[in-house]
Amino acid sequence: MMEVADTKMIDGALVERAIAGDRTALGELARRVYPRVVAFCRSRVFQTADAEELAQETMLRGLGNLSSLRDPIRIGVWLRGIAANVCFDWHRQRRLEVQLPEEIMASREHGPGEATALQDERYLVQQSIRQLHPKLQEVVYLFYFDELTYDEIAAWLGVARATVNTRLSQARDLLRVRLSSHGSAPL
Amino acid sequence: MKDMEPMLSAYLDGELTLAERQNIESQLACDPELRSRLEQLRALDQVLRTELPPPRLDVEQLLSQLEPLGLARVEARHDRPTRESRRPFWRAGLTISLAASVLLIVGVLIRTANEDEEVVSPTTMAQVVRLVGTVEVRSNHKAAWKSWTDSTPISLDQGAAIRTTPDSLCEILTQESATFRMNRNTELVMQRSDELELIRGELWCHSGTSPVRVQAVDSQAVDSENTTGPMFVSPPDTRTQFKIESEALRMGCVADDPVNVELPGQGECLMSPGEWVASSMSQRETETGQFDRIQETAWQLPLLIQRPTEDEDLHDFLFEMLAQLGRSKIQYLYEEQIRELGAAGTLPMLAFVKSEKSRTDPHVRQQAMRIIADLAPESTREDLIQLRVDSDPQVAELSRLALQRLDKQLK
Repeated sequence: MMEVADTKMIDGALVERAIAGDRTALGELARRVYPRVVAFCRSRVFQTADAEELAQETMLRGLGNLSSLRDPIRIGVWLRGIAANVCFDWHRQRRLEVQLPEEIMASREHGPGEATALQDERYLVQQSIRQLHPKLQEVVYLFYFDELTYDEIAAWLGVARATVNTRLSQARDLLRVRLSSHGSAPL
Repeated sequence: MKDMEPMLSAYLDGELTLAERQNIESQLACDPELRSRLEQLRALDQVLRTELPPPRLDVEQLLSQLEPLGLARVEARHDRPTRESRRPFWRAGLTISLAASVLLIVGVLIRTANEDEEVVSPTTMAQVVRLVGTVEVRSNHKAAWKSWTDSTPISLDQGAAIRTTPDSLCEILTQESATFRMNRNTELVMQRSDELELIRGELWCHSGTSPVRVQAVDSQAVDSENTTGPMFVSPPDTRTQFKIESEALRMGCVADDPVNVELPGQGECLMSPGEWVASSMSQRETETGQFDRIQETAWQLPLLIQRPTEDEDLHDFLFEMLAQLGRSKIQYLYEEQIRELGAAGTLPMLAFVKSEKSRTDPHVRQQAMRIIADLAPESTREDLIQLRVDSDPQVAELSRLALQRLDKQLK
């Protein structure tokens, strides 16, 4: 099991090397943190495509200004702060726009049958996650997107390991109840 | 069973110690309900693994986007103006290289191009809609401060600064339907209709249709490189109160329900009514505590009593509260202390003098009226006109003198 200090040190070392001009380190850093930034954006924005677009915007802003990061091991807190601003601006621009989720739109293009049923189930899962509190959503995405350990998630979010355990457990419990109520066997 | 959920979840994820694992396995062996719950968790875990594939990033494309742009261009394209970036360029020092100067000029040109709309047609971000005493406003950091003493709506454009004096209060309504109330000795800058910098003092906020961001400015660090302090984000339609004290920004939850707020550098936090959290200017230290919501927001009463409301019960209730506050002041404070509160401090006493209850104690009523005559602000003129025909000749005379003083001030 990787210790919190280890994952922070790896991120911090990559930041230092990237600032010094090491292109490989910058690429590795981007690869490591991207799913985590997407996790944050997905917990604030419904549609996958929008969240990934905002995550890339965050990456451009963050990695483009890495030299202004005073403490390299705080890259997680720093990037989440930038992502919060990016999502905030996005919501402000689209405040009054209400769009149907892409999964529903996609399912409308198909006739009745297995494909529609699968898409409905996918939509149901996504919608159930969406109904969770953003901080529960983020832990779910961090765990499943990147297969991070509790310690790594705790280090990224700046919370205690027990908090990660509680949030993930709470999220699963709520998801189980919601999916069961929609007849999603065998939950 | 609920108590076991975190343990079961951690067991599924392989996150338990050996001892914990052995413990839960022994319970699983003899508890069919627990085994059933574990199977449900496994099934859910499988669904989530299928439905949440890891997002893929084209790293090469990202690097290729970063490299040719250079840091200056990326910053110019995306970052909102910061306090530092608004500094005059000569503050950067004389050692700035020619190359850096060129980049800076390019950055400024790009930023100007992006903000053309705002430059060509400056928009009103907010208006001062209620005022007790005098406030000072300046349209930007280079303009001179201008004083306002009446309650006519005062427009606040982007970048405008406003400050209250030791005896004034005001209420601001933004385009996003957010309401801010500024306590005495408070200064802020309207960066956007939903974003402001708090330089000093205390601010009550009811966010409107969008979140409100309040950022502290570290006035002790005006000459250093970075003067921005912590920023709190208050969600839409939420009541919070901000205060700068002891080199920290304090945010208090004055809503009736718990509020989910974003804390600087710490992510989200659920705040209960009456709870406060403070972040130091360096954003390294955080403190929390409890406060009395009524007591901490009582300073707004002089503004609240000015608010026109069709709800007469509400109006009467507020008036009665204000009158009680005025009576308490007269009874429990020395006259010198009351006078130190200035013009805004006279409003509760005026409510007391106007209340029927005050007539049972004519001596206290006259004492209050003497202070009112010396300090009452212009916004109380209508009340003073009513009191000019009061049945108590001394109160009527003091009202007349107060009106004379206000007339002189206007001239």
